[in-house]
Amino acid sequence: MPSGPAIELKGVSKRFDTFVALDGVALEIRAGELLALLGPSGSGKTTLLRIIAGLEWPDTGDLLLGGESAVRRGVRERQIGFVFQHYALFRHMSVTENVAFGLRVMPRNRRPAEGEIRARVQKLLDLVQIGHLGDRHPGQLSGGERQRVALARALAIEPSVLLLDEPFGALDAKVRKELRRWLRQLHDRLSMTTVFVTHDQEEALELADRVVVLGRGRIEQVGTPEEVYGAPSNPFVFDFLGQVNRVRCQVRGGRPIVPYAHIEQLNGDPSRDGPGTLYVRPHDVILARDPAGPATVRFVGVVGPVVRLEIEVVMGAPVLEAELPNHVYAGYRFAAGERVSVRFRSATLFPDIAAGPEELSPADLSLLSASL
Amino acid sequence: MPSARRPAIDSRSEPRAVRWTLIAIGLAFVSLFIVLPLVTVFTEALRQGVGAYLAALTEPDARAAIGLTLTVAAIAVPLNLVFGVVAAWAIAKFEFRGRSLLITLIDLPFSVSPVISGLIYVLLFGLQGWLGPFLSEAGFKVIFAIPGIVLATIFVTFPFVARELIPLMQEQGTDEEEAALVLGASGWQTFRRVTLPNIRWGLLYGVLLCNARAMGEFGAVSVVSGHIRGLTNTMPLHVEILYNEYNFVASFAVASLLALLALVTLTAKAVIEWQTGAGLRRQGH
Amino acid sequence: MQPRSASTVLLDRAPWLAHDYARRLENDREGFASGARGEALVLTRAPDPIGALEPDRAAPSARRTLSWRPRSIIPGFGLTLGITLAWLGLIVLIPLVALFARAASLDASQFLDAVTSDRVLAALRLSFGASLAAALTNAVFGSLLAWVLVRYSFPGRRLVDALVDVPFALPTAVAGISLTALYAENGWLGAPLAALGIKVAFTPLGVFVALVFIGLPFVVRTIEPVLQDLPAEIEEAAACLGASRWQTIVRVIVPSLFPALATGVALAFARAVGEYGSVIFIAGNLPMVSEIAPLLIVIKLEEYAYGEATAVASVMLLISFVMLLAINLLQRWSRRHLERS
Repeated sequence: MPSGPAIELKGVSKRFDTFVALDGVALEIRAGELLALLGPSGSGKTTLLRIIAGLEWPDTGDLLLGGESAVRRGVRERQIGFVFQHYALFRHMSVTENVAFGLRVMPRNRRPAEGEIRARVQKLLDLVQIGHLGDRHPGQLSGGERQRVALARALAIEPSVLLLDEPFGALDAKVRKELRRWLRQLHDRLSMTTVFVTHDQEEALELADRVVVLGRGRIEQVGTPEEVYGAPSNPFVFDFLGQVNRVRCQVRGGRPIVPYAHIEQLNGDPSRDGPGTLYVRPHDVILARDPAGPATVRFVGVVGPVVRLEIEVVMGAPVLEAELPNHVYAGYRFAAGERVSVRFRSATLFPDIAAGPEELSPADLSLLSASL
Repeated sequence: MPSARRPAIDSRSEPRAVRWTLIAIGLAFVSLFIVLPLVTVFTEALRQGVGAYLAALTEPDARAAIGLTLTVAAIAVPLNLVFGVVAAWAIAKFEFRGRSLLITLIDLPFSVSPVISGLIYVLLFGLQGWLGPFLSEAGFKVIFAIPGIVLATIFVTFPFVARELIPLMQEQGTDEEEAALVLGASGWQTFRRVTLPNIRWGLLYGVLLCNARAMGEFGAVSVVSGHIRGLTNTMPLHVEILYNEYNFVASFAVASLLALLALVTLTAKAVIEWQTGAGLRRQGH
Repeated sequence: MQPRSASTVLLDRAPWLAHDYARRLENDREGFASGARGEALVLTRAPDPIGALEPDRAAPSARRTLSWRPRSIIPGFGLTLGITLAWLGLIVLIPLVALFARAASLDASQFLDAVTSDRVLAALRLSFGASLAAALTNAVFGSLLAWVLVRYSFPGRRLVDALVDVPFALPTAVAGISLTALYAENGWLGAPLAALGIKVAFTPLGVFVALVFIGLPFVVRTIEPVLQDLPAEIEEAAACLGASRWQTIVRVIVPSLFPALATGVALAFARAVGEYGSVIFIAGNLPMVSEIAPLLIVIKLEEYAYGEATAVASVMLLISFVMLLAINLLQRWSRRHLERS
């Protein structure tokens, strides 16, 4: 029994001409886990997936499948299930023929008998719940049905690993949610190592056992959904996952100074003095009605179950976003123009890396003087 | 109730009178330059009745010309078919430097006068040509013989299949081929089972056009054939000879076969467009 | 952050993030603007620290320079390109090069004598003149026909549309003898025209008629798709702005069609210059009067004057290549024009 990781990437880099798609990516994917590669487009996530499948080659680095180097193994020999973003169904074949394709092109000595192929295809179609659509052609199917056919086709060759490229990207919101849940159930049933690529944070957080956040060809963070959302390890992940307020501050004597807001819980390292940025989620911005408060409510928008407020700090143009559940908001009923006080329930500090003193803007200077 | 009358001036159309005038001019032009010549072929061919018509077609030299035309097409078309598919695969499925230059070069024979297309082979293989003396010593005759006719025909029909397939295959991309390869298909299986079925209509269309031109080519073949009756005369050349001998009925009789071929080709084209929906898309309004 | 980048960002994100991003961009701009005013601020927006919000400036395919040998999992590149180049070289390139090599082996005075003799000049003048006249005629009637076929519905429209391809498909020799029979003095059209004193067959006018016939589909088929894709909105907009129908056509439609029209005319012209089969029957082939350049090549060949034939051919070929280049540029222009509109 192989006990190591199902897939292992070691220092994988890939360039397209001047564009660096992947830059020294190292990653271990555990057998049986459901892993999401999450990142904005251009972050290299699809390239990474295609390298695992054998559809692209790394310039440098190594790829191990089941403990063995697979870089030199061709795509045909890898036996990997791959679901393409736009499904790439064979449009001239029926659903049944599509799913049977991988079995029918096997070398004669491994190819199952025609009867067995048919039985296996039907079983697969039943598994993905489209047993009744076998005679249809891809053009006659809905997006969700096509997705299921693509999945059944990929599973037909009994792959060791299942790779999905933006599996729900081309579907409308409702179908997407439904299929997402169904894929999770299917994965739990088959317990097959599964990697999917997405740019949709909600999808990654809801579906995956672990999330790999990619940015500009590098891995920014790897962790469970709770970890990457709750404790982003760097500003990129903070920005990419969920909405966030970025608040400039000065760190002095082990604490960041924001004159108009009280910080309840500070994350990050405030040991170095100098300019920094606080990352505050909108739902961590707490407001209280206060006629002498430093901030003004500028805009109140009710978006279904949540209420979004824009807060303008006195004398400052930049706007803070606050978010609170509708039922909480009902107790306050802030109106535009009202004065409020501000608390940050939780804020994460990242010191500015490059900013030297010469880069201080007039705004920074005024901030400095205000805090003295 | 007052009848709902369309406003006299629609923002996207012209007054009725203008419309019909333009339609009338267009139809007159098509009748004059296309329909009448087409009709003339058949009326001239049948001028002396069906008997004379059939006699002209079954006469030995005519039969030899028909046979030669079919033979030449049977060699040239499959060769260009294979070339077209191969070239389209290289050009449409891969991105490489010099690709657009390659496409231009493949299209080149279209911009060469048919007479020059024949001439270049005379200069290469004729008795005064570079390879001519060498070939004649070997007892191999290219010019004024069938090989020359085949070569000239291949040249003038060179781009047909490839230029039909390249845009089609480019539009289809490589997703399905990649999917087939991931599922374990070999290169040949991928082509046979995935690519070929997707391009079959475009391929058929290209082959039809290629065939029509191969059977109907006149200028290039005329230069290399030597016009030896019963031996190196293709149908178009036979038409010319009969015409120059003032044997108009026979000439038009053979010509009518070629005209029929053209009509069949165009009908097939319409059917293919209807099959693939391209016609519908084109007639979108 | 440039406001222009907003749309690029939005395209890449799930729709529900769009609102959020648009607002962030707005905030960023405000943040910097107020900072520049130098007011006493207690809070500024941090600059985007690592460019997480920037759009993909380096989409992989956007500015990739291609390699000679692509790396792809699709098999068969070397084999198919090899066969393509070999076949192309054997059938097309080597013979064409042979023609130019042959022409280059003539000495200069011989070459010049061959291409500047009165007969050759007259033939070239006729070939190019009649081709130009025919192409321009087709520009008018071809556009009209394309317009009628695309914009109006009338009985038999699809049949007429199919008939436009006849000159493509009909062998040139067939077209040649048929046009001759039609326009000869005892023909259906020749007789009434002769009564008016117009002689078509066996005159330069006959050459013109044949070249109109073979050039028509080039113009119609190049304009048709462009006319079809012309968005209705631009005409409606012109009408809303108070343009008359005539003004709309002259100022909006014709300029949008012009690149396609120019391409079609150039294609028809290029084809007409080299045309042989459909012309020689109706032309009468009188030296200095109705003898076209391709025919002259054939005549020289029959006289075994290979040098002269080669000289004339190389001049014509050179001109065709120049026109091919021009057509390529026109098509590129046409495409760019389309993308812009």
